[in-house]
Formats: sequence, structure tokens, C-alpha cells
Amino acid sequence: MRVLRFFFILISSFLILSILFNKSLFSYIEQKYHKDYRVDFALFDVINNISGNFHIVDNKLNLELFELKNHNYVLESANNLSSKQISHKDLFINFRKNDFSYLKDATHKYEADFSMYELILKYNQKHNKKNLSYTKSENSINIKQDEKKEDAIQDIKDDKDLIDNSKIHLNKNDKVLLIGDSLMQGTGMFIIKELKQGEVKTKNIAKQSTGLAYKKFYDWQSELKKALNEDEYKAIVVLMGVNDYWDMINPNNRTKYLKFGSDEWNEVYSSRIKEIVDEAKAKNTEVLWYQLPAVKKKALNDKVAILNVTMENTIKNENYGVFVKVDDIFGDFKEYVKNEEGKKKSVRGSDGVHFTPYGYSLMAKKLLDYIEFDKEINDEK
Amino acid sequence: MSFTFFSVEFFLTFMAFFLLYHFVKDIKYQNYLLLAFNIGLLYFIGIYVLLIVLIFSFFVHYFALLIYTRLSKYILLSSIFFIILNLAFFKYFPELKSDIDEILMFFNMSESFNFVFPVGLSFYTFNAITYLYYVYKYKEVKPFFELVTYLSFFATICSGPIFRANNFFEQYYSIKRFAKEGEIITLVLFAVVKQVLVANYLGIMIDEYTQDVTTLSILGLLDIVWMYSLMLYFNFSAYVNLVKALALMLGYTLPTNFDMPYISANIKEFWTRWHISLSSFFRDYVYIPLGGSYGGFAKTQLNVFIVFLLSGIWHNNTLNFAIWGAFHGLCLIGFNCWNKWGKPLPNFLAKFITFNVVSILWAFFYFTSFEDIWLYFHSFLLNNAVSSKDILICGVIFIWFLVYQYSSGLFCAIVYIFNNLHFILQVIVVVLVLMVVFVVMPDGIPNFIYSSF
Repeated sequence: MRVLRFFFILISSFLILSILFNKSLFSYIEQKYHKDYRVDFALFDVINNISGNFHIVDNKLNLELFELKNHNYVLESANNLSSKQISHKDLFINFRKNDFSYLKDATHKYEADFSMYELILKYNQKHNKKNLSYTKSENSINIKQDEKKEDAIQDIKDDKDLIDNSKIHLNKNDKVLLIGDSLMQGTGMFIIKELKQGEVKTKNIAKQSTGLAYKKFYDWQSELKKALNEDEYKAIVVLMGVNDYWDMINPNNRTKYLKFGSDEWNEVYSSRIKEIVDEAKAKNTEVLWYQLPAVKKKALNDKVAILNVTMENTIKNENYGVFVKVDDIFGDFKEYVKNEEGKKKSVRGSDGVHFTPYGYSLMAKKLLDYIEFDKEINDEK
Repeated sequence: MSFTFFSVEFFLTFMAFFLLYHFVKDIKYQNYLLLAFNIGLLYFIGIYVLLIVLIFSFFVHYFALLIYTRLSKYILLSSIFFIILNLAFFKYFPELKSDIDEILMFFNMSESFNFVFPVGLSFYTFNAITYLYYVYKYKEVKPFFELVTYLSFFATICSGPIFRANNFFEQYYSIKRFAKEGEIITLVLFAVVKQVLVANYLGIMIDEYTQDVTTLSILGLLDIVWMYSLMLYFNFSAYVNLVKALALMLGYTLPTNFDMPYISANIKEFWTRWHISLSSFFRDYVYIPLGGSYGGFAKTQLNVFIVFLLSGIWHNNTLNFAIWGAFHGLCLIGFNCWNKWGKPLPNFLAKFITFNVVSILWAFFYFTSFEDIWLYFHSFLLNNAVSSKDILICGVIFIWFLVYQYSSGLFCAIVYIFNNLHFILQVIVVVLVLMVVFVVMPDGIPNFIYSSF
């Protein structure tokens, strides 16, 4: 009897709270299980009207922890992207089929490496041609079919402008805003330290478990707008996406789902990226957008690869900002990286997604490749 | 897969298990159910974690049989040495990776492997040590599945408290009568308020304050360690409150781990009130075997120092943690000397000094790298201007400190009031408290600091 009474107290409390916070509960379910179980129930409407914005961002979520498994898909696929005409859609279709064999089997007579792939992208952009890797049409440059392919490659290699990364110039006392998820929370701690050498002030408002896919759960656009209204920032640095590789509820029709990686999904996701960038641009704020580092679990890493393509495509092709690449260190998943003394140091957390402090410091250092500090400060140094 | 006790899923699963557990009145079946729940939870956390626990249990069982058959102190000591070695291997593997790889490469073997520190290894290692000692002392070996139930006990596996074998098995065989409803619900409410509300907000404030310590005033720098001191306490004691409530629901009383540590008038008292299960473990399994207080004043102080140094190194292998342990050891030696030759300080002053010493030493806990801690202490010399926020935080902490000194009866009073309420009113109280918490809490997942140790 005592057991039942106790059970009643806890369960009825839970039920009452679930009804009172139904919006939050459904948001939690949507974000965690990627299903929308919202029901039209008059009581909920009444309560939600009374409670107004009683919307708690759930404190129990963490979609960023995954099982451990090793692989190196991102670099591999990137290599192959440069050698073969692979569209975003192809990548998606093959991801759905879970078949990457054709990527692995693809031979590449020029032995293009990842930097080559980058150069080709830049070459395409510079010469106003459609991007090599992402276009679905035949308009894209096909190096293989180009009769003057050797010359084309030499041309690319010789073009020094292509090798120089576009950089953001930061002056003394400029302010930089960091937004993102838990990866940014960790990386941000070290970005603050790195930017200090240019006497740049940094604010980190990253929030764990957030992303761009679940706007009802956390709306980065409005958070950013709020932050940019409160203070003036020279640039924002964005690192998010590891909570986003799931099917999404169609914002135009909430009864339908958009399959992760499908054209519609990419379109919506790309528009979310643009929303963030547009908020920044409206305030004349530069945007530095981090590429996602590889994660340990292969299935998720395949998704990371797709997300990275969408992000890079949006940021670079639209000339929206600077895409901060981290794949020379974290393009394929590794748990240890040699430090300057040649000693292996652990870089990844036990979940295969997050980093150790040393790993975060390496992530933060990558940002410096895309930043130029005040000349005076450089001279002082 | 991520796991937290603070989740809707865990709550619902545990409530179903709770009903089933008490529905089956037979102790034998209740214990089977408990084993199944422990295993299920570990499987959910990760099969790797489960496998390590099972393999570890096999070894502990084997050692226990050896100790039981031989009754040799050397076998006991070598078994303990082996399981500590196991803990040290997992804990310090990342540091040894380069050297291990070199050895493997010498033999032309693959170097692409890694050992991730499994959740709770520290705590079930400590529990296993108490079990092996129990076998040696009481000459009694438990069946393997009972040992697995003990070592994988869901309430203590993640972050303790250390649940000694004799204490656990005494309760394991006794009839579980469900009682103490008021205490359980009060513990849960305390846990939620402390963690979800207080510790989370403190965490946010600390993050904000530590973004750039070189810009802070001396008061602001002190605010960091005071806030961290409170956060650590609220975070860890909230966790212990919660697991204590869960264990009580199944008829297990966990050992007390916190007893209002910040009312301590000296550092020695502090260690009898803070993380009690760990400090008493170190006392009984390190300090006393080293000779304890036998062997004169100087030898006692040396033993104290060794214990605290070991405690620091156990927490983490960075220099800062060793310094933290060493400083605590030195403070305790200093107190022992003062106690022997000096005059006692006024009570409130002693409490205030103790709180400050402990708080400043927590800085070594918070800033894990040597450069960071150096920068932190160096920033005291910069003497930046004090902001009104620094003063406000200091004021709030000081008021809390004063109120806290007189709040020792608070928990019992709430339990008493709660027990005397009609159960419908009890529901209303629970809903109201949680409602307030959910409305004003910050975002974020409760992150239990101790689970990584």
C-alpha cells in the first residue's frame, strides 16, 4: 500500500508537470527521437496560453555522445570527390544505400589529395565555373575529361591566390562572438586564449545539444540577433551541426518529415545557415564557419560528411563567409595526435565526438589560419 | 549512449522497476531483479562499460577465492595491487600511449588501439578493495553473481559513494521494507534544486568569469573560487542525494557522503564532512596501514601527507591535482601543529578561514593545466578595478555562508513537515517546487563532475 501511494505521488506529479510543460516535453521528444507526437488537445492549448512562454529547454538532452568505432571515411570520400563527379545527391543516395564501395574503388590517376580538392574548388570559384563536387549537372568541370587536364592542374597549382586562404582581419579591441554547441563550448575556451594574442575580446554563448535543425528547441537565429543587438562584434565564429544529422520535421508542413540529406532537407538546412549568416551580415559582422570534425562512429561520420558538404557549399558558394577547415587534423577520426615534441597526446573524448582539452586547443588553433591580427600587434610580437 | 539519472526516460524506467521490485516480495527474486537492472543499465551506457565490469568481476572473484583458500596477507596485498594497477592503467593510458606504441612498433604490431576510461572504474575498484579485505577478514566469499550485483550496483557505480562490501551485503540479505517516503522525496527535491538550479547557474557564472581572468579584480578572482567551491558541493552532493533516494526506494541505505562541509572550523574537520566515503576509505585502507598516528608526531604528519598526495594523484594525473593534494596535506599538518602548540581561533573566524583555504585550493581542481593556474594566481597582481557585479556576488556568497552555518536542521525539518502532509498535498508540494525549478532553471545537462574521476 505504501509503495502504491508513493508511486501515485511521483507519477501524478510527473503527469501534472508533463501537462504543464507539454511544449517542452514534445520539443524534447522531437529533438531526441526525431518524431513529433504533438497532439491537438484543448487542455494543452489552454495551459500553453496561460503559461505563455513557459518553454524550458530540456536539461536532459545530449545527442552528442555516440558509440565508439574507428573509420576514416571523410578524408577518403573527399579524396574521391576531387577525382570523380559525385554530386551531393549521389552522396546522399549512396549514404541511404549504405554503399560506399564505389567511392573506395574509384581510381584517380592524378592522385589528388585533399588539398588538391580544395584547390579545384577555388579554381572553379575563381573562374566563375560551377563547383566541381557539388553540382548535379554536366556543367561542372570534369578534370578527367578535360583535354588540357595537365595544364589545368598546373595552372591551379601555380595560382598563388588560390593557395592563400581568405582571412578576416581583426584589430585590437575588436569583439568576436562564438556560437554553437558543446563542441564550441570546449573549443571556445581555447579560441578566447588564441584571440587574446591579437588583443581581441571574445564572448562565447555556445549551448550544448543545440543546432540548426530543431528551431523550436533552440532558435539560434533569434539568439544571435539578440546578442548582436546587445554588443557590436567584428565577427562571429560558428561551430555546430553534430546534433543535426537527423530527419527533420518539414517546417512548412509539420506532419511530414524531411529525410536527412535529401535535397529538401539540404535546402532547409542551407536556409538555416543563411539565416545565421544574414543576421550577421545585417550588422556588418564577418562569419567564420567551422567544418565539423570527424566522429568515431562510422554511420554518424557519413552524416557528418554530408553536413560538411552542405555547410561548405552554402558558406563558400554564396560567398557568405570563411569556412574554417579542420580536416588536415580531424578529417579522419584519430584519438591521438602527436604534439610538437613528437609525443602522442589524446585528442578525443571517450564518446568519440567531443575532444580532450588538447584536442580543443588544436581546433582553436585552426581558426588562426583564417585570421589576421592588427599589424602593430604582429610587429610588437 | 549518454546517460543521466536526470532524465524522463530513466525516471519512467526506474518507476516501473520500483513497482516490480516491491511486487516481488521474495528477497531472492528481488536480488535477481536488481542484478538484471544493473546489467541493463550498464548495457545501455555502453557494452564496453558492461564488459569491463564483468571481466573485472571475474578477476575479483578469482582473487577472493585465492584469499579465501590461502588466507595470506601477501595474496590480499598483491590482489589489491593488481586491481589498482588496472585502475592506473586505464586512468593513465593516454599519457602512456606514445611509449606503448613504440613497444608495439618494435614488435611490428598495430598501434591503432585505444583504451577508454570506463565509467565508474574508480568507484568499483574501491568497492572491490573493500570486498577483498572483507573476504580476508571474515573468511567468507560471495557467489559470483552476488559479487557482480555489488560491483555493478547502479546507484553507486557512476560516482560513488564508496559502498563498503560488509555494509552492502548486510542490506543485500535483509528484507526490504519500503519506508522513508518523506526522506526520499525530500532527497530528490534537494537534488533537483541543488543541481538543476543552483549548480547550473553557478556553472554559467563561473564560465562567464573565467573567460578572461586577466581582466578580473582581486575580488572577482576570489569570486571564481568561492563560486566553484559552492558549485562543486552542490553538484556532487545533489548527485549523492539523488542516488541515495534511488537506493532507499529499493531498501538500501547508502553511506553518508556529505555532512555540511562548509561549516567546518578546520581542515581536519572538513575532511570528516566532505566526500566522507572517500576520506574514510583513504583513512582505513591507506593511512592506518601506513601506521596511522602510531609512531610519533612527525611520522603521523608524513602519513597524512602521503594520503593526501595519493588522493590528489587519484583525482587526476596532472601536476595541479598533485599540488592540490599536497597542499591539503600541508594544511592538515599545519593545523595539527597549530592544534599542538597554538591557541584556538574564534569559531566563526576559523570557519571563514577554512572555507577560504578550501576554496582557494579548489582552484587547482578547476584550472587543470599548470599555465592556467599560473595565469589565475598571476592575475591577482594585476589589481584590476572591482566591478559592482564582483561585489554583488561576494555579498550573496557571504550571506549564503552565514545562513548555511545555521541550516543544519533544515533537511530533517522538511522531511518532518512533508511526512505530516496529506498525500494530495504532497503531490502539490512536489509539483510546485519542480515547477519553480523548471521555469527558472538555465539550459543545460547536469554534468556530474565526479563521474570523470
